[in-house]
This record gives sequence, structure tokens and C-alpha cells, in this order.
Amino acid sequence: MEHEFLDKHTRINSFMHRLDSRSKIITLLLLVFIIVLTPIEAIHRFILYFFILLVLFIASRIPPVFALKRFVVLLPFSLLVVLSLPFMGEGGFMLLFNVLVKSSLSLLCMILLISTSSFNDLLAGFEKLKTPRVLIQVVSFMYRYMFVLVDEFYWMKKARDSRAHHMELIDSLRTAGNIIGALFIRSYERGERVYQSMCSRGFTGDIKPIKTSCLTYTDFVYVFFMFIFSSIVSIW
Amino acid sequence: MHIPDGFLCTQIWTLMWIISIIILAYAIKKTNDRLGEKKVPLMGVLAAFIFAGQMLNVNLVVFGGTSGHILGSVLAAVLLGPYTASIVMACVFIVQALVFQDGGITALGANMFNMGFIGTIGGYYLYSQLSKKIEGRNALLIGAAASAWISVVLASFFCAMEISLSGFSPLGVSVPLMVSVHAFVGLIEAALTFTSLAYIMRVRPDLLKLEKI
Repeated sequence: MEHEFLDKHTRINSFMHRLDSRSKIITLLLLVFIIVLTPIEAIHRFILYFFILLVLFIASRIPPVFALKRFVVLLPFSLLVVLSLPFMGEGGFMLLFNVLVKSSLSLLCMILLISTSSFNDLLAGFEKLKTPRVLIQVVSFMYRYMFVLVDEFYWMKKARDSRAHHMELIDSLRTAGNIIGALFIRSYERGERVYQSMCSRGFTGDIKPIKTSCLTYTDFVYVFFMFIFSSIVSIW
Repeated sequence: MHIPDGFLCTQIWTLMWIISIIILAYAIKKTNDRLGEKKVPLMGVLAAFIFAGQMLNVNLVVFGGTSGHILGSVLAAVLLGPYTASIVMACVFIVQALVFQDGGITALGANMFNMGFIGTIGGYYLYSQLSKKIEGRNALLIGAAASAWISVVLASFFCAMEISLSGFSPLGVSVPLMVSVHAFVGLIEAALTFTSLAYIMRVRPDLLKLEKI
């Protein structure tokens, strides 16, 4: 169904896609933190960060249109800052500039991270980087069932829309509540079924990865380069 | 209400990260003590449920054609208990931040707190107090709906405060703007929490009597 928004560009074969997910997690998350911590007066640093992200982006061969569409998420809060401009005095535009530059660059990092490795590789990377196991496991189950439940949800929605084209507010709230309630019951039952079938196949709380990844020389060179680059830029 | 990176100053986002990590660590400890890792598949499926439930938009013809969706934190807490719901909601926000860039990484702590833990822990406490006080058959539903509304309004209040204290918008603008918008959005949250719980009560009342952690 409508799953084209996920995992879409993770199977491209490019330099960025071939890197181990750990090296991408470390470098790109680090870059987000560095960008957020950079004082706004240091415009030359932002230009250099943008430059390196642009290089990585080109090396990843992700379609630019796809990335640009993602910038929609910045709209609501940018609007809030724009609405505050008349009350902020002279420094207002600088603050607006600050949030726009930092949020866009951080967004670029995150787009690069998520579109260059499959979600399972990413989770495996996070697990090797010592993220709490419960979180990793819940998220990996969540990721598997998201598609199933979103589908289930769309079927119910379609059923509703085909039976009731236009509803008054109260009715539409009641139907929406019924859909959510039904979805919960189905999810719960599915969860129980899945758990029982996993138990019967010997599940003890451990999930073993099928594919083990290893770091290559390219990873070391890339991580080393990114570290050197960001440290030079951040003290310049 | 998902705050992106760059909209919070360092002091605020580190503080919110620390608070959220403490709450999350406590919740993980609590659920591990009681459930072991056995309920992980169930928690994962329910996180997916919250995620899917958030995709349902209710058309608000009354408010000029805008649409709103449910956060689900109080709903999750009423169904699963505060700590399990906290982990479930945290996972929802982690996936939203990672996969959809809905909310930033530095702001993730703030987002988990505002939209998750206020509802799952504060909202749950309020719900359990309210439903004891209210008489009648619908005590549970009314208590849940009221705390759903309050937790959405509180979430928007905290969100506005965090942005204002970071210096990106004066308090006089952000708080009234965010809170007034979410006073309406909260009504949908309350209505959907009410109606979906009413449905579950009708169809599978046993699911409301599960052990809550």
C-alpha cells in the first residue's frame, strides 16, 4: 500500500550506502550535535558543514527532490518564530536565521543517515553502540508491524469512507474512536499470537541478527576524515 | 508539536534529555522487574498501533477545515499502565525522529517528555485519581478523556515554554498561540480517547483489566 515513504532509497548502491551503519550513526549524529552547538555568528563554519553534507549527499545518490520534500517538517515551528519577529526587536532576524540554518543542516544529516542504510542495519548499528536492548527490540518489532497495522488501518478507513461520505463532527469522532479501538484490539491479539508463536519456536528474549556487518578500511578512513574535518572546522 | 533540531538552546535540550533518560531508565527497570523481556513483542506491536493510530485524521469542519490526530499517550497509559506506555511512546518518538525526521535528535528528549511522559505518567496519575472521584458507569471514560485534554494542553504549554526559554519566541507570543491551538486539538484527543476506550469496553472489556505497570 502506501509504504513508499519508507526505506525507499536504502537499496541504492553508493559510497554512503556501502559504509557500515555504525560509522554513519557516529559521524552524522555527531555532526548534528556540533551544528546545534555552533554559535550562529560563525557563518563560515555553517558553510563548510553544508559543503561536506552536500558532498556526502552527492556521494549517496539520493534524489534531491526526495530530500527537499522532507523540509516540510520544519514549517510549523519556523512559522512560530516568524510570527514572533515583530516582538523580538533587532535581533529577531538573526534568531530566525539561526533556527533555519541549524534545523535545515541537522535535517540534512538525518536524511542522509536514514536513507543510506536499511532500518535493520541501522538498529543493528545502534545495538552495537550499546543502546538499551529493550528499546532496540521494541523498535524493531514496531518497525515490522507498522506496515501491517497501517495497512489494516487504511482498510478500516476505506471501509468507513465508502459507507459514509460526509459525517457530522460527532459521528466522525465516534467512528474514528471505533477504528482506533478496533485497531487496538486487533493489534493486541496479533501481539499475543506473535508472542506465543515465537515462544513455541524457542524465543527466550534474544533476537539474533542474520547478517553480521564488519567495519572495513573505507569505514575507518571515512570516520577519521569526518572527525578531523569537524574538529578543524569547529575550532576555526 | 514535534520540535526540530536547532529550535532549543543547549541548556534546555540537555536538561530535557537528562529528565527523559531518567524517566525512561526508571520505566525500563520497572517493566523489566515485572515483565521480563517477554512482553517485548507485545510492546512493539502496541507501539506500531500508536503509530498507525496517529495517522487517522479527524476532519474538523468546525475549525475551518483543519485536521487533528491523536497523540495517544493517555490512551496507551490507560490500556498498558504508565511505565509500559512510557516505553511504547518513547519508541514511537524515536522512530518518528529517525525515520520521518519528525522532531530532531537533540530535541528528542524534550519531545519524549512533552508528548509522551506528561501523558503517560502525569496523565495516568490524574486519570486514576479522577476516575475514583467520579461516580457512575462512565467514570473511567470521563477520567481518561479529561486527563487526555489536560495532557495535550500541558504538552503544548511545555513546548512553548521550552522554545521561549531558548530565546526563539517571546513567552507572550508562543504560550497563548500554542496553548489556544492545542486547547482545541486536545478536545479531539479527549473525544478519541473517550470513544476508543468506550469501544474497547464494549467489545473486549477484559483488555481494560490487564495488569498495569
